[in-house]
Amino acid sequence: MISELNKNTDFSASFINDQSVLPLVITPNKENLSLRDLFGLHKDIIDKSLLKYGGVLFRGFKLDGVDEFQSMVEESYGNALDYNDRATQRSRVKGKVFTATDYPPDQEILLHNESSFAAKFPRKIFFYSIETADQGGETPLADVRKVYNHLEPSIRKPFEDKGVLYVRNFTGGPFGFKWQEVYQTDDKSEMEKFCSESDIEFEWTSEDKVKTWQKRPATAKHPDTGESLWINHATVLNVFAIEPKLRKMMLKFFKEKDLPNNTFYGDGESIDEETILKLKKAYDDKTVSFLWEKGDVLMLDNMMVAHGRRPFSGTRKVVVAMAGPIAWKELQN
Amino acid sequence: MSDILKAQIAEFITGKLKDSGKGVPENFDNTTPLITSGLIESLYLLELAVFIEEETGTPLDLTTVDFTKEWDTIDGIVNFTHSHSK
Repeated sequence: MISELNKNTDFSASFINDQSVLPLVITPNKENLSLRDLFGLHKDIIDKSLLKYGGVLFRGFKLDGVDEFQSMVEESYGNALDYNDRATQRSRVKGKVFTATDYPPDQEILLHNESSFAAKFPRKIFFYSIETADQGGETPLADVRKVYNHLEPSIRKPFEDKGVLYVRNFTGGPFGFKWQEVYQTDDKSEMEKFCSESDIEFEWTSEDKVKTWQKRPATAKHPDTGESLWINHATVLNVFAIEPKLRKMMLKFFKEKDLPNNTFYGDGESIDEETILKLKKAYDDKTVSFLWEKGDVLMLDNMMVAHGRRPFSGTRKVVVAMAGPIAWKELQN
Repeated sequence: MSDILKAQIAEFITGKLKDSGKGVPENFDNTTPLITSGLIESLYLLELAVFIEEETGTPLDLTTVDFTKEWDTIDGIVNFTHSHSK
């Protein structure tokens, strides 16, 4: 496929390194070729490449700020999505463009497929590097087709049979989120309506504190290729994903049932630490990463590729736009 | 003991503020609001609790802590540490 890609005169295609076909890297052959024009001219082949490799990194193209970034996404893939049913601190930069995360820079964010715990999630996610960190700050990637196949069947099967239960507590304290932040409203009835429409059970534990439960599949067949995908937040939101010393401290403060986030098998059974460590290792074994360059745009098939964030120093500004919503109800697993 | 612990906590917090890119406020001292002002991330409170336990060698009892009230300043944190060390 790469030789076919390189038959055109507008851009060249290569891989990020000799060991990985993720992401495909596309660079311009002409000076001042804008990314918006590239999508206008070659969207079909970009989409084909995305379905094969899962992620495409556009490097060296002209892109004039976040307005043009959002326009480029919307011209090709429809309205950019808002960020509701939140799982990370994120600020709106402008329009439907958000900071990738406001999570503290010295902390790692484990791999996950964007919003896969929600009733609907984006098919495509775009990252745009505006400022690069002095050190680190990579967005590690893992092809979840490979993660699925790499997992021992004995680990995978209970998840395939039962799904994942996400239990969240929005307490408004210094840890975790306030429900108003997560659901982007101050109106309880709006929040309740959203939950009901999104298959989220909820219980008000006090005037301003709410507990939610949402059960989702752990795997899916890709709607275009039929490939099996490991697509969930079972690892990243589980208590055993927290560094042991911090976890111990957190459990001094919270009863296990009251943790801001935790995951279970779909029938409510606890997931043991060994399983979480094996899931984490499966992602790690399939992880690739690269250093951001200023102006890079990374496009991911959010169903095929999980992403995370490495710790960094200095100032890093990576923004995101999401598009192409799909509901779990539309998918087979 | 209290003054040493206060200095250690101040060093820990200012280090985190520098690392996070927020920087240290000009008049930062033991009475500067940390949580109610949004100055430090909640995750750092847990790291700070681990740090305090390691420095003092005594487990902290956090079962009844109201972080926002009792851990909002370095003075408050040290008072809490003395009264809630197991």
